[in-house]
Amino acid sequence: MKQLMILSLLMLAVNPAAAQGTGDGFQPLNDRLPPGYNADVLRRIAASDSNWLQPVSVHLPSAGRVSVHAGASEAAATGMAPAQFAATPGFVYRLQVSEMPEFPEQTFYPSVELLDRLHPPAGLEHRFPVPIVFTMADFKAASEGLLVTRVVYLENPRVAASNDPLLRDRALSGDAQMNALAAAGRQGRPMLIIRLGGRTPGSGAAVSGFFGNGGQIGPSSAAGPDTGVARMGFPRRIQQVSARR
Amino acid sequence: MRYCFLALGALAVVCTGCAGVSGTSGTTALKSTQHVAPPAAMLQHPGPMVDGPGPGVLGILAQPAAHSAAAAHAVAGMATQVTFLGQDGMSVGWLSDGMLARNQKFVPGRADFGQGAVYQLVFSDIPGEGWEGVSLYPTLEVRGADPNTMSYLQHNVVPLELTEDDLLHVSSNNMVTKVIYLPDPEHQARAIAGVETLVSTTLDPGVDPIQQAERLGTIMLVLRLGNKEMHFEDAQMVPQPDGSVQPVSMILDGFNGEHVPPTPVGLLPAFMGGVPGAMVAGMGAPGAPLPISGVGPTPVWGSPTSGTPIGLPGPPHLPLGGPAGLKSHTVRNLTQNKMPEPVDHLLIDVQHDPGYSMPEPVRHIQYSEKHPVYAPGEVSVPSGR
Repeated sequence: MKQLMILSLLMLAVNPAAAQGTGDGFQPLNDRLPPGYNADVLRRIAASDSNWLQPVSVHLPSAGRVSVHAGASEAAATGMAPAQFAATPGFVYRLQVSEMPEFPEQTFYPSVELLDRLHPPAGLEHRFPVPIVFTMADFKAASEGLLVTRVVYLENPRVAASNDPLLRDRALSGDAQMNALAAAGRQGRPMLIIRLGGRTPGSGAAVSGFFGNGGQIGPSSAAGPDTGVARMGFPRRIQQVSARR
Repeated sequence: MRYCFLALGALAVVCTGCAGVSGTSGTTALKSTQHVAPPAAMLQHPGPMVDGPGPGVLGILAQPAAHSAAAAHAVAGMATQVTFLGQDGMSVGWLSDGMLARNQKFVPGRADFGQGAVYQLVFSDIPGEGWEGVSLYPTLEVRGADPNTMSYLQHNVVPLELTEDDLLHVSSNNMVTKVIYLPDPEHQARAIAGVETLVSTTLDPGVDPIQQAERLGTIMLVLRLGNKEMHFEDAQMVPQPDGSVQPVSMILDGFNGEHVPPTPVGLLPAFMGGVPGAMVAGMGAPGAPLPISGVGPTPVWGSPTSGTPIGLPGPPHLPLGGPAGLKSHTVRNLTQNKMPEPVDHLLIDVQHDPGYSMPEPVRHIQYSEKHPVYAPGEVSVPSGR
């Protein structure tokens, strides 16, 4: 009996982590996976209405022209910022941002991977777009050759009730190894992934899927003034969305 | 008793000794509460040479055939956009279909190169003393998009900088190898993904910049630069329609409006034929045809160059050029995986706090009525009723 007790103590000493709690679960989806993979998997699992067009609004630091491509080099919709369009969840779309006074000679081509949809009241869909907010820091980093990745999520109502709505720019990420998609999932429901770099279409862009991988684009009227938008000051941080009245 | 303690001590030495050995041999010792997710490449594919959805994705929900075909199509047509930096005004040209195209781009400028190939470049009009009239002929190896680099390559232009030090080494008969790679997250200095460059001339002697970069991340470009003169300007003898052979100059010049895209002078092994492509695993989507070996786009199994169970080409028959003599080869997978057994009986304990609290239900109902008895004339009845 005494030897058994000593053996138990010995095994605990060899493996002290055995008494600790369990770690994070396995996360098969990651923001570093190739663009379109996460949305494709979620679209097949959710099996949501394929005819649903999720309104999305694009906000620039000051002004500019925003075009959206849905797999073709010809823009499916164009408008001045803040622009709004509607798109099918589960696909990747490419934006074209130009005529910004801060970058008059440059055109940026960020991509939008639409993961999920909102469930607004019927008839009020266009008053609840998912906002995409670009900052000056984003475009500056992209022009320096960096890849800016943002995950936009719909906050969990329980978390939203305890958070100060005026302090929405919480630093929720910090290191390069973090799975931003999983972190956003802990805070709410990931809606889309934005990736911004300095690449231009170039030759053969339409063949290689540069302009997206299909999906439908529809018109969407501008959002009302009661749509909340949180502006973030740092790239690759989780952008919190408040799409409520 | 003494032997019993001796046995316990030996057990402790064995346990702790194993941990020590694994630590010194490079194997990362993980706590039992830590988990390691497969890399992005493995998440896309169940395993080497097997295509389809990775772990965590139900096969019946996914459509591996359509997804893999789309992915392969995207990779096949994908190009890496390169921006040339460092020597402002220097012209960049390349070999295109056997013709040397000069002055196609000027630093700083950007050009697209198809992935998985090697290109012959030409640098001219290099600023600085001693470079008047001199051209350099580097080769540019453009690696294929990896799941780790796919996002970056689709959104960013890869910088390729030619520095004064590089030119100094070239003029000193040294070969310069520049490797541009995307660091793995654990090697990134900041949260935003950016590229890093390794130059052979800045490394210790004997250190291969390509191997070093592969340890730190995923390679996107390899530039090899020396001072060898190439004679693409020499006229080539081209047969004419009348049967004669005439010398024809194969030089194109961007100044004359002659702009052509670069064409590869070689393909990287991963993009060559010989090794069959990945096979689609699983049953596929409902209604989709099953992949059958040798039928349709599904390649034939049994190619002799894929002799190992992990998808690597088989060993050569040594000595090279001699008759086939290899009888067997063994590949041992020494990876220390921790794969749990499948769950056969699942127990889920649920608890509400506070739980429901209801009053005791009615168990007994006793009902009684008392009927008065009146004699005639004791009850008056209103008239009219």
